[in-house]
Amino acid sequence: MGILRDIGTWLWRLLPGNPILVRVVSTGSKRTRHLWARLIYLAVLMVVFLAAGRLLIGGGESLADLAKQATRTFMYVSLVQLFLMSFVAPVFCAGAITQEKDANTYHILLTTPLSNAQIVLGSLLSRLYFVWVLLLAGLPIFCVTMIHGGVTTTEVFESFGLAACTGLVTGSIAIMISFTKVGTRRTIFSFFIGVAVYLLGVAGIGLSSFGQLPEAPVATGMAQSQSALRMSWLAPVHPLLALLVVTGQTNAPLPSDVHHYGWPARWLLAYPQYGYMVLTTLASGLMVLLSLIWVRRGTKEGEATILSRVLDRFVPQTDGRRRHKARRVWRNPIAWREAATRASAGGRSLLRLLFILAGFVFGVILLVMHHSGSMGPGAVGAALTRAWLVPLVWIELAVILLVVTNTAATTLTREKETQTIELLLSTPLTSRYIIAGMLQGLVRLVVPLIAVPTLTVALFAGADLLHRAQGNPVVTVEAVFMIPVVMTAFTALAAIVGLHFSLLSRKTVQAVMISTAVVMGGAGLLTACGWAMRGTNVHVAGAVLPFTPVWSVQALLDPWEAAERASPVNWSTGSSGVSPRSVVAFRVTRTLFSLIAATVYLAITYALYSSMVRGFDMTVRRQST
Amino acid sequence: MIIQTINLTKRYGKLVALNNLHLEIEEGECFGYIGPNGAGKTTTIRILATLLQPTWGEARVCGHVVGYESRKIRPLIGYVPDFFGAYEDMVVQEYLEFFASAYDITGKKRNQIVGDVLELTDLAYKREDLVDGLSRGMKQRLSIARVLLHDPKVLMLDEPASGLDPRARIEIRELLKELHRMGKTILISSHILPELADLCTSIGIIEQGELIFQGSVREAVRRAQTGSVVHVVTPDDQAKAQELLVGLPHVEDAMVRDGEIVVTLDSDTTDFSFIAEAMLQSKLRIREIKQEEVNLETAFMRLTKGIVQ
Repeated sequence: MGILRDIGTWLWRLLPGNPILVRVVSTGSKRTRHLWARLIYLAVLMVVFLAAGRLLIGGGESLADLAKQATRTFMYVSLVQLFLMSFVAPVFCAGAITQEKDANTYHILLTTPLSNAQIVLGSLLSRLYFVWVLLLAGLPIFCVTMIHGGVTTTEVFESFGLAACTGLVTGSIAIMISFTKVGTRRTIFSFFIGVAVYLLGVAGIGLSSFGQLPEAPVATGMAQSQSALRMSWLAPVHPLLALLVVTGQTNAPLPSDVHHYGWPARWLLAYPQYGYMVLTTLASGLMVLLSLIWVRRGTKEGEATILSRVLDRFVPQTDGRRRHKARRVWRNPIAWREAATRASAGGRSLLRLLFILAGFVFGVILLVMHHSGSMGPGAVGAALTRAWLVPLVWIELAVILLVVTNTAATTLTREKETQTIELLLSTPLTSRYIIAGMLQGLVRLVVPLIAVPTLTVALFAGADLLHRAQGNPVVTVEAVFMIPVVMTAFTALAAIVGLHFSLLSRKTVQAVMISTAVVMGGAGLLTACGWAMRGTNVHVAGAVLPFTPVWSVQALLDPWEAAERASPVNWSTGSSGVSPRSVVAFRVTRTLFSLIAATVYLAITYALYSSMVRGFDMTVRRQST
Repeated sequence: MIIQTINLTKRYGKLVALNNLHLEIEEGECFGYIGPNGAGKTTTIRILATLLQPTWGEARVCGHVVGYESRKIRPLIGYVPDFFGAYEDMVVQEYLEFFASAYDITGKKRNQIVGDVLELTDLAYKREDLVDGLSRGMKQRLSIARVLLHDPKVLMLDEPASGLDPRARIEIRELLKELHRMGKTILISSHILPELADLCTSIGIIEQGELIFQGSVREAVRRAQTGSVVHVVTPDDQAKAQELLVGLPHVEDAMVRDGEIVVTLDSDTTDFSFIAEAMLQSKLRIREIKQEEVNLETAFMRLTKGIVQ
């Protein structure tokens, strides 16, 4: 009996009575910030629910229609729920990476009688508590979709299971990073980007022809009207691809069809939604286990490890002092610090170099493939090369925007967190000087990055000039000059947005999350607007597209494609009515409006900069009290 | 008057951190600012360092009004906060050059000044060490080096000796004495009162946002000395001696404690020779008789009520 009671007490203190969890559950729910987050989350779900299903505002004529609408509503609401969960879970779990370090409570926790399991599980579940409560708050909306049929209880639970498991695995990754003691404020951004790249990258592969499972039947869902879609073999490892199976957009193969893959692949492919839940739970368990093993490693900083002993044999011994040669500080010390210490710290120089090298290598490979004829002959080859070049520049632009937004968002918050802002404010440096210095430092950081797409495009333009006889240029000459102009304008705005939220926020995590969301959300919204305007006419498209980062790049690099989309279709021949004249008209319009767009972006940047300078002292001093 | 506050008031919501503070510090003084935790010391220093705006009243540094002429004040002051703000991946020399640039000290002059300041603070051998890796004592010395770069008139130091080991504390104290000898006006807040007594020419005691004393250390001690306490040691019967002393005029109390008779005199009595005379007349021998010393710590304890906001 005694043993059973002890086990019971141990289990009680491990989870329901875990002091770390109890503290968060009893205080976290009352925070205004959390209430607002819940409200916004539910409002978004509600808007999607009403817009997609029109259940509450009419539209259904028969029971069958209502059931179809309910199915469609369920699909959209599930997709949005998963999307929000994929965004919200990293946001709430990322804080775990540095929270203990920031509050200096890590060592205190380790000296209490709390076991490793209590510390790790308490930290994990206190993070997941909010995410899962948020998820549960949306359950009534899903219940309404079930009223009219077309949606089963199993589907609702599967959809929730996928979202909950996404939260679980994200939280486990954050906790593992936190407890393996490699977590710093820099890690948060990498974590955030890692999650985003995984979700978008794997989804992209999964939805491409390469990612589709041949054994899976072609979908009979609503997506069929656009293109035939099979389930991806990546569905068991990706929540969105698994959700497509749950909502009937893709169909899982029968177990007998995938029998030849052997266990467990055949089970994972036949039941991808359950496969995802099992795999993420197992992965989370593994990460929790690793955290348990490593939880006390943080107290052993500086101790010799097997790796350090091996390295010591090859690297000359030092006296243990951390030092390097002093560098020359520039006339503007803020700009120097941004460029020389912040941008180069923690291997960031290496990452930048890797980006530059990768960009050039891809560009050169594409150029060689084009001129060796691997992309096809003449106009077809040029079009195919452009089809690769445009996404390459898109990726480079996205990386540049993310890097500059993140770096800008951390500038002032880092000063606040290390309290160096007080030292700066007690010097004669003015707010204009401080912000200008930060911008100058950011420019130094970004210039080599913008040079990558610019030089890539210049390489193609140069090669086009050399092979003029072929008559099918890959890029236009004006693109070489306009690409750096528009990229600089977009980047400047992203930088000032990052700086703006860095000024307004007290914490780096908060500033990074808000500014990344604003920049990426804004870019996404403009991309959607541009998408809607692409098919109008050459003049309108040429005037509108330069204002959107994504389509601006395409309009500059591939005016033929953009002009073709913007030209009316000749219904008698079935082809679009693009003519050389239309292309020229489009090129002229988009070049002119690219300049105007760049001016507008820079004007907005300057307006934000001026407003920051005016409000800097007041904001910082208010925060310091 | 190099520092002057008139009715200086600072409120954080409902909390009154400073309440009509009147403070006056002469040029060349080393002013010790003491008070319990939460009394308003850091708030005063942060206002004088132009980091905070007063809610009410006025603060002047070198004749310039804080809030209106802050830009004129900043080159004239050196502020050392009660924490050390370190930048990542910066070595000692870069750290000083960084702040020298912030004070518009450039070119050869900057090299010269940074070198001089490193020598003065005995940090020259650490010039290529990362700031993050320095010990707390070294960081504090670096903080002082930082504020000497632009040769300010006034140094404002908030708890500079906090958390330092005895050696580092003595080194910092000697450095501050040297700076005082060089003519700097120093405003220093600290909880280590014996060191302030040794260093400061005058002190201010603040409690609950109000200045309850300003003057020299000697004056503070005198003010705190409400009644002399005399310790008497006798090899004879202590109970008999106590009985005798309690009955003497001007004696408020006498008690035996740790083998001594502790005699408290009334506030008007400073001469305690009558105790010796009375004891000798009663054939009680005296091994030792001495007046209890009132130091700054005792004065602080007596002058403040120990109420923390």
